[in-house]
Amino acid sequence: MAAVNDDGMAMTTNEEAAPKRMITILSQDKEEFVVEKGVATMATLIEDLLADVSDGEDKIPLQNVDARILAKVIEYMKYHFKLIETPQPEDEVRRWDREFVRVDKSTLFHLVLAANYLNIQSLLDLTTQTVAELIKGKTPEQIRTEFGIVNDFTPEEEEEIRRDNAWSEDR
Amino acid sequence: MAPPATRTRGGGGKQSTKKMALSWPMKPTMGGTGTRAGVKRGRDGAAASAEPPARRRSLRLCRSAPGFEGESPSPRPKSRVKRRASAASGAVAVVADPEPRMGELSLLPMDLLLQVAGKLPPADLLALAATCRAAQAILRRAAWVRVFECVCLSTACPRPKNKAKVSPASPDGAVGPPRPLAGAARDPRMWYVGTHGFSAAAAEAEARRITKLITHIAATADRGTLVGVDILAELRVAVKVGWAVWRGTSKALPVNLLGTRMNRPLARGADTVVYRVFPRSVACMFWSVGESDFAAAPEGGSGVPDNAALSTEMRTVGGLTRAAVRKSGGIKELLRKAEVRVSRKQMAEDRAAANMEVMQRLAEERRLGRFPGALQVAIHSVSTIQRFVAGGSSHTDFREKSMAEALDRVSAAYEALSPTFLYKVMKQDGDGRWVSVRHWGWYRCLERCVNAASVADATTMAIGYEQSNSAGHVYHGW
Repeated sequence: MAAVNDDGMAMTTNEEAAPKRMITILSQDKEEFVVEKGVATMATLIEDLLADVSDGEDKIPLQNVDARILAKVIEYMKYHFKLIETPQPEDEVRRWDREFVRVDKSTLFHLVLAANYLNIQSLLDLTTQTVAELIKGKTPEQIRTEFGIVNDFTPEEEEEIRRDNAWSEDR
Repeated sequence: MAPPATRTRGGGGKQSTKKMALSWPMKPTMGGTGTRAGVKRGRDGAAASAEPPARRRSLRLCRSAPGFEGESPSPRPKSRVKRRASAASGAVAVVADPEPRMGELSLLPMDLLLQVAGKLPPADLLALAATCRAAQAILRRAAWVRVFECVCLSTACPRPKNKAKVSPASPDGAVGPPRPLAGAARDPRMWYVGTHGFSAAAAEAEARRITKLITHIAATADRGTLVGVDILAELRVAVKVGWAVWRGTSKALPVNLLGTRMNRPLARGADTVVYRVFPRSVACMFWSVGESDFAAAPEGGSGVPDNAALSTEMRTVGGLTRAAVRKSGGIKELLRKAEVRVSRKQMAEDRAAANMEVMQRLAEERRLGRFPGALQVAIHSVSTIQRFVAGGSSHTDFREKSMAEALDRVSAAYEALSPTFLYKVMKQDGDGRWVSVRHWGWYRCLERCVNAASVADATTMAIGYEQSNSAGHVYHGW
């Protein structure tokens, strides 16, 4: 069980003095993540779910997010939750976000899906923007290579499309 | 973990939209057979399917995304949607797309793909759409809507008042196509828009006027039937012009027109405008539209050029205001009964004054490298659309030529006319549409122009027509 507090460290005396409600999030592969409620509720889905469960039930099962992705999402939520209390310079946050999404494409896509599923708008924006960045400035052929897309156009169709989009090459 | 017992709220089927299973919003339209919703049973035991929350939210986002054909984005419901955590355990299993057609991008359902698309500049979006058939099917439309948006944005750039102050550099000093602003990482629509010292409000007003005008044109076109119009071809032309405008911008001001201002009118009118009416001339109009040529639509009207922006000759007929003419039973009746109250000398003077005004405007347009003038193009474009989209119109048979070719010739014909003569052959009808006055003369001339072998031929024909008809008055008769 990956039980951690918000900083990933042992709970401090202060925290013990004012215990915060902890939530257990259950990943698709049954791994449990214990996070502070404030962090968890950054995901609107979890917030809605928590509003509907009784106080005794603090386990939120998320069937569609596996542990690997959930860990990443929680990392994101923790960082951005902490920003509420201790704001950081915008450049710093942006740098952190850039580092956060420096992952392989499969992870990135799963983060997009998870952000969408969990309803974390900022993460969704960040990840979709990152996908867009992968596409920007590339030719169709380069995009195909990047994403393993099979070109199923006939040569004639391709030529027509190329002609249609000729203006865009003049960027 | 054992799922808690399901508790339902409300009753029966009506509650179904408030309940949702927690399933992946998988590939609803990308060829996948992904789960769209789980199934829950309400108090009455009836099966109640529902979209998962994220799915519904993303659909809402998607509706605001370019190219989404649907209702305008609605605000998120205030009431909290409550549901049981146990719903997650009732989710329908995810079925992966058996045959990914967009490579790794197939992992993303269409709504998310459109969100990604919404963060791409039009050229990149088109490049993505050109990768395979699936992408083409999904994104082509979105791409062109995005293009349209960008063209609209470019129109929020009134022409400079003083060319000397205009530098071709973008905010970062580079010359080239529009670039996202610093905030574009969060909002990709934060493109810089050259405003040449105009305020954001002025730019917004400009964009609104244009949107109104185009919407009006589209509505006008809706009365007819579009036949054989290659709208995409026209869009391409429009985009070229749009880029040209953009390249010419200098000072930048972040105007998030699309997000905060343009989105709504576009959501209502863009589909119609882009896919039904977008002739080259409209693009030209974008190009040359200025801050004063199109006033806000009077009395909630159509958004056509305001009378104030037109010349004296267009506002008066024989010295009478158009309102007075209408009150008198129309021009034809007026002319028949009263001949012309104002002397020919007076009319000639009026016309000369109007001509001078227009010529000055055109000279300024030319000096700025923007020709033809906005007014002339507006008249030209609306009338051109009229003829091209009017159902049953026999004046123009453009089927032998592409729309672009035909418009080239018509455009040349109009541009060959002097402003004075242009006003002679145009009028605004009761519905605010601009039509040619001489149906059987000018229309036939236009028809010949459209079918001319070349643009030069069309120009010659138009000049010839003017020379043979410029003597005497061309009244606004039917």
